[in-house]
Parts: sequence; structure tokens; C-alpha cells
Amino acid sequence: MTPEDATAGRCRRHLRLVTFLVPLWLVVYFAVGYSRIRTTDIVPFSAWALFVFVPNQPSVYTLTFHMLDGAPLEPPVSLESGELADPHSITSSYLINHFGRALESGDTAAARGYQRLIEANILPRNRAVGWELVNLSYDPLERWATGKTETRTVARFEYNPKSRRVP
Amino acid sequence: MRDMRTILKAAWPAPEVFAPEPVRVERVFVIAQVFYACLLFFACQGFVGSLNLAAANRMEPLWPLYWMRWSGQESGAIAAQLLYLCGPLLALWKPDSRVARVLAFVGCLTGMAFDNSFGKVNHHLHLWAMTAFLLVFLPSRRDALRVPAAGEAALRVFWGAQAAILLTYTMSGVAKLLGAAVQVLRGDASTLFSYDALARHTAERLLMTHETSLLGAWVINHPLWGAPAFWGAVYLEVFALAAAYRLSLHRLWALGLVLMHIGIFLTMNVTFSHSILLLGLMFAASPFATSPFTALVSTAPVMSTSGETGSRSRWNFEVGGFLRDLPLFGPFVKALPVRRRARPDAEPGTDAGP
Repeated sequence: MTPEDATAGRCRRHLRLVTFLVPLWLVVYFAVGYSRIRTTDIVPFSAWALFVFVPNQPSVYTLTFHMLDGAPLEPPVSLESGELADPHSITSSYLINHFGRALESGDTAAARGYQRLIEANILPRNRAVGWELVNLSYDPLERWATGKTETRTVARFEYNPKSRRVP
Repeated sequence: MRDMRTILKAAWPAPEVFAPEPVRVERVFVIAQVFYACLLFFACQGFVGSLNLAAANRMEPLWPLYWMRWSGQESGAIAAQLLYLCGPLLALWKPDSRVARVLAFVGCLTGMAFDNSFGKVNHHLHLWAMTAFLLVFLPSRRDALRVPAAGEAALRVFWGAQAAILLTYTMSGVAKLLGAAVQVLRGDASTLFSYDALARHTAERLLMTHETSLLGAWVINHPLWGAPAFWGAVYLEVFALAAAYRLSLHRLWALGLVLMHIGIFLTMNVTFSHSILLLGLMFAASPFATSPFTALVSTAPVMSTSGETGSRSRWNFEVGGFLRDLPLFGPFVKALPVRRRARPDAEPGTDAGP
């Protein structure tokens, strides 16, 4: 067998592998991606379930700060105001909503994980903070036009980065 | 096993699509090298920011960064970013080395996992990681240009990467249809099929991030105008994978998806710039794309006033090309009664079609 024959044979084997493997990868990606459609992705797979439900009356969560460095804030400061935290971060919004859903569904372990991330990444840095998790319910078009929302306080927390205690 | 092989083989387009013409095979390798240059650019661009992010925030490392549990967050962040940097650098320098291409994939996966280890999985690098994975299976350029089987393998790997990208859009579109079915069944007032669907999505997104966008307020206040754009976007998504099989649609579909991403940015401030770049890279110069207008344009000989002959393109008004390949609408276009125009230079009674 000449070196050319050996190369041609190797290339044919590679072609057979590719012909089998590439479509298999597409099937696996589809299956694994959709198998996680209702939970979080396993990277690099994803269900790509973006903007799936048209929001009619969404129930979302946000934060309100009622105490800073031991002094009460009157009136309480909302996350939206941007005075104490970044209101534009989609990651923050995602974390707060997942925390709210986990807390209200009784998933304590998940809620604890999200709370740790909120305290470390969203709350004001190196400050003792009293904060509330607030549920908002609204019609998006109505809220956009008039600001009307129904609000409900879900839970109150205190966080001190020096001596962490969560009531 | 043999049945499975038969089914998987049937998933490919016609074999002639993968005829290993050197020009097309060469293009695959040029695009692959640009791909690695882009990955290297992302790694460099995000390097310092990622280290600062890790220093200031708590991470919940995803599975590709499991080893960070032992390395610690800050030193792990440095290692992850260096891997993200070195993998594409090696693949750019040595694109024929499969080891380098594997490292580029691992680097991209690491970079992606790093970006998504702060509590939310974003989708900036998903498509890049998937493409990097498939490019691992490219043969060496030397073999591909010399041996027909290797050239065909290169073209098949590249088509697979294109199909994988388009598959994710189809998955997104089908998920929207499934969501619409659920909403219709539970009697929601507004669903995908409602005229105000895009307005509601836009309002919800802008309220969530407390931002404004260039067209957001207008779309919310004029919901009827947004409806065709939204339904058009869902059409593009649902049939994206079908476009992979229809070569006249390759470039047009990618352009449509790019415009969709730009539209999403202008209304909701959601940026998919990484996806736009990848669509442009993989489809604008697709080695498989045929001209969408081939059947629409004919070349007629012309004679200038000075007596020089030449040719110019003109529309011959025959419906064809990409319109016939459009998913859903193509069969209707094919069924249209088409009146063919005679070319000025055609013999009487001859077919004037292109």
C-alpha cells in the first residue's frame, strides 16, 4: 500500500465518521436542549426558549431597601430608583425572580443559593442593609402607560456583610 | 445500528452539494481561521473585565468550571481566562492541528461557562461553542485540497455547523409555537397570535430592566405595527433549519435573522451581537449558497451607440429563485400561472426562460 492509498483510506474513514457524527450531534443537541426546557440549561446545550409566553398578567419580584447601615430609610428605596443597586442588570432581575419563585414554592435549598448571590452581587457593597422581597403583578401595557401595579411584600431580610444574619 | 446510520445519512442534503471543488473547500478553511480570530478577539476583549467581575462578585461555577472549587475563585478566574485566550490563539496559528482546535473548543466552553457562572445563563457564546465543537472534525487543509473524500468531509462539517446554528433558531421558534398552544388552551387573552404580542414582550422587557430603547415606546404605543414584524421573526425562526437545505435561502435567511436581531435590539435593548457576527461569518460567504436571484435575472446582449457590444442584467419578471424555495409559501409560488416574456433577441417560438 502506497502512502497515497493510506491517506485516501484514512480520509474515507474520516468522511464516514463525519457523515454519521454530525447529524447525530444535531439530534443530541435538540434532545438535550428540549429536555431542559422547563429548567436551567446545561451549557453548551439550550432549549432556546426565549420569549415563549406573551406576558398577560406577569407576577414578578423586585427588591426594596428599608434600612441602610442600621438607619431606617423613610420612605423605603426601590431597586428601580437606582440609588442603592443597579436596576438595569438582567442578571439581577433573573436572580431576584428565581429567588422569589423558589421561596414561594418552598424550595429552600435553591432559595438559599439565590439569596447568597443576591447578597453578594446585588445589594450595596460592604453596607448593612435591610431589604424586602416584593411581588409585583400587573398588565405590562397598563403599567407602561400608567405605572399601575399590585404589590405584595413576600419577606423581609437583614444583611450585614461583617456579621451575616438572615432572620 | 445500521438503521440508525441510514436515518442519519438521510438527514444530509443531496450528495452533489458536497462535491469537493477546491474553491469551496478552500473557503471553508478561510472561514474557520477567521472564526478562531473572532474567538481570540472575544477572549482578549473580555479578559480584564472578567477578572474584575470575578474579584467583585460571588460565582456559582457551571460544570465546565467544576475545578474552580479547588482552585479558588480569583486564581481559577485567571486560569479560565488564560485557557479561553490560548485555545483560539493556537487554533488560529495552527488551524491544521486537531489538538489546537480541541483546545479552542475547550477554551470557548470555559469562557462561556465563566460568563454564565454569576447566576444567569446568557446565550452570547453558545453558538460559538457549538461551532467550535464541530470544527474540531475538519480534516487538515492539505488533505482536503488533495483527497476528494477529505474535501467532502470538510464541506460536510461546515454544513453541519451551519445547520446546528439554524437548528437553535428553529428550536426557539418551535418553543414559541408550543408556548402559544399552551396559552390558547388555558384561555389567555393575549397570545403569539394577538396583534399586541410584540408590544407586550417589549413593555415587559423594558420594565424589567428599567431601560428605554430607540423603538420600544413606539412599538408599545402602536402594537398593530409590531405584529407583522413579530410573526415574520417567528416564521424565520421556525423554518431556519429548512433554509439549511435550500441553498438559495442560505444568505437571505442569515440576513433575515441578522435583521431580526437588530430589530430586537432596537425595540427591547437585547443585544445578540455575537450571533450577528457568527451568522455573517458562516453564511455571508457560505460555500453552498447559490444566488437567490439566479432565476430572476437574465443577461441580455446590448450594443452601445459607439457600436461596442456588451451585456446587461435585466429583470425578466419570471417568478423563481428563492421565492420557490420559501417554506410554506414556495408551493403557492410554484403554482402561480407565470407568463414568460420573450427576450428581444430570441427566435420566434423559442422559450425565453433563463
